[in-house]
Amino acid sequence: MLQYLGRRLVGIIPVLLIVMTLAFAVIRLIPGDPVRNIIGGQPVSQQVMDNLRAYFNLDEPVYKQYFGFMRNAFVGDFGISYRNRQPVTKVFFQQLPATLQLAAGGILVGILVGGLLGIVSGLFPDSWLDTSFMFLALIGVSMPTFYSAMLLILVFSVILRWIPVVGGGFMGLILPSISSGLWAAGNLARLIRSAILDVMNEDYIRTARAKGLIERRVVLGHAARNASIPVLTLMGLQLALFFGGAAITETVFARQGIGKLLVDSVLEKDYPIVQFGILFTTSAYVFINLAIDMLYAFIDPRIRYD
Amino acid sequence: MKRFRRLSEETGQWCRYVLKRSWYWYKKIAESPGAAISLVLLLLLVLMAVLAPAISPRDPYATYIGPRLSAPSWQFPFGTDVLGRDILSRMIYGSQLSLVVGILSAAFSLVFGVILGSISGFYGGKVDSVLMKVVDIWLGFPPLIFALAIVTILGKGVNNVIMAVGISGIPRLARIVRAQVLSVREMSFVEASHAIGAPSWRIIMIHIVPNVLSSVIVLSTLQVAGAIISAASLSFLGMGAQPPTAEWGLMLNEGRAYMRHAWWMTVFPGMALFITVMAVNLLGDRLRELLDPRYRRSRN
Repeated sequence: MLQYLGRRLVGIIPVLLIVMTLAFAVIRLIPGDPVRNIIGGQPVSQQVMDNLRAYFNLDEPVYKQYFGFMRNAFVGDFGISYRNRQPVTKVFFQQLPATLQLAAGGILVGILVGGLLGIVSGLFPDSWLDTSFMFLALIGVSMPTFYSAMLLILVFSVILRWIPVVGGGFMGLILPSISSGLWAAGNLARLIRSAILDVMNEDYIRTARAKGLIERRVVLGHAARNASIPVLTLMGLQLALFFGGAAITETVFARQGIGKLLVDSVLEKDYPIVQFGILFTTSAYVFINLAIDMLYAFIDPRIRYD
Repeated sequence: MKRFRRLSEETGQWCRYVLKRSWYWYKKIAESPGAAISLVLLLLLVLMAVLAPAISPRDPYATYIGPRLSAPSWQFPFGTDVLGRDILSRMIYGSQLSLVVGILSAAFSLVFGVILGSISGFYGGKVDSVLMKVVDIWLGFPPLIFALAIVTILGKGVNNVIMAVGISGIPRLARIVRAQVLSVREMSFVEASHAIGAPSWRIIMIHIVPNVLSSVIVLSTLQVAGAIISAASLSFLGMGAQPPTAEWGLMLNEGRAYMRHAWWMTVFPGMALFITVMAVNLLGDRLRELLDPRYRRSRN
C-alpha cells in the first residue's frame, strides 16, 4: 500500500512538470509584448518599459526565464501579480477560504440531495418516486449554473425576500451552495441509481438474501459498499472542479474566490495569476484522484495495490 | 480523369454509407418517447435558427423600439431590455449563434478526435500508449480553466470560443473513437485489406473510419450540447460573444444587473438554454441505453 502510494507520488512528478511547462508556455504564447499589457496601452517612455521588463524578469532569454520559473516554483515563489504587484501566491491564497467554503457547501448539497434521490430511485426502480426523482435529476444536470443561480436569487431574494442576495456568513452561503451543488446533485443521483441497480443484480446480493439477512443488512452491508466505488470517483471529480473555483457562481453572487480571480485575471491580462491558477487546479485534480484511488482500497478489500 | 472519377465515386459511396448508418441510429433512438421528443425539440431549435429573420417579430439589434425594461405584454411577449430591444427577437436570433458555435466546435472536436482516436487505435502499441497518456493529461485540465487558458492566448471573441470549446472536447471523442477502432480493427475485412497490401492510411480511411463514424457522429450531438453550455458560460463571463450580439449567455449577463426590476431579461433566454440542454441530455440517456450493454442489463 505505502509502496503503491510512493509509486503514484513519483508518477505525479512528471505530470506536474509538464503542467508547469504548459502554464509557463501559455504566457509566452500570448501575442504581443507582456510589458505593454502590464501598462495597459498607455504611452510611456522606453525607460519605464525597460524597468518594468527587468522588474518582472522579462528581459532575460526565454530558456533562462523558464529555468528561473521552475527554480523559484520549487521554493513556492510564483512571481508577482501584474495588477497589484503582490506575490501571486499571496493574492491567490487570500481567495482560497471563500472557495473552500463554497466547495464544502456545494459538495454537501450534491451528496445530500443527490444521495437521497439516487438511493431511493435505485432501491425502488420504476416506481413513481423513481420516475419523478430522475426527472428532478435531469433538471439538475440540464440547468446551466448561471441560470439556476439567477433563478434562486429571483425566487428567494427578490420575490420571497428570505435571503439577502449579497451577504457573508452562513446565510450568504446557502444560495451559492445550492446553485453550484445542483449539477453535482443531478449527476450523483443518476450515477448512484445505476450503481445500485448494477449491484442489486449481483450474485452476492442474492446469496445475502438467501441466507436470510434482513433487507437493511443486505443494502447497507453488501450493496452500499460495492455501489460506492463509481460514486466516489465522480465525487472526487466534482470536488476537483470545485477547487478550480466556481467562477460562474462566484460571479453571480458577487462572492470572492479562485474562479472569479482567474476570470478577472484573464480579462485583465494578469498572466502570472492565470499561470499559477492552471497549476493549482490541475494539481488539485491530480491529488484528489490519488486520494480517491487510495480510498478504494479501504472500501473494497478486493482492491489491493501491490 | 479516370482516377478522379474513381475517387469521386468512392467518396460518394463513403458518404452514403456513413449517412445511412447515422440515420439508422437516429431511427433507433427515436423509438423511446423521451428521446423522440428531444429530437423534435432540437429540430425546432434548428428551424428557429434558420428561420430567425422570418419569424422574429422585430429587429433584434434595433434599440428603443419600445420603452426600456418594459414587462412582457402583447406588443413585446418577452418584454424589452435596458436598451429597449425586443427580448423575444433577441432570443430567437440567439439560437443562431448558440447552434453555430455548438456545431462548429463539436465538428472541430470530431475531426481531431477521429484522427487521434483512429491513429491510436489502429497502430496500438507505443503510439497508442503515448497518445492516450496525452489524452489523460488533457482530460485532467478542468474544462473551464482550459477554455480560459485558450482564450487568454487567442483573445476574447466567438471564434476563439469555438476553438477553445472544440479543443477541450477532443480528448473525450478521441477515447471513444479509439475504443471503437479497437473492435473494428479485428474485423476480417480489415485483415483482407492488409493481405492485398493496402497502405495503412487507406485502410483507416476506407474501412475503419466509416464504420466508426456513424456512432461517433451521433455522439457528437451530445458534444454540441456541452459546447452550447460552455460557449454560453464563456459569453456570460465576458469572454465570448461581445455586446451587442444576441447570444443567450451574454443576454443573461446583461440581465443580471436588472434582476430586481426586470426578471424577463434573464428568465427567457435562460429558459431557451435550459430546454436545449435538457433535450440533448435526454438524447444522451437514450444513446447510452443503446450503446452501453451494461446499462441495458440493469434496466430490466
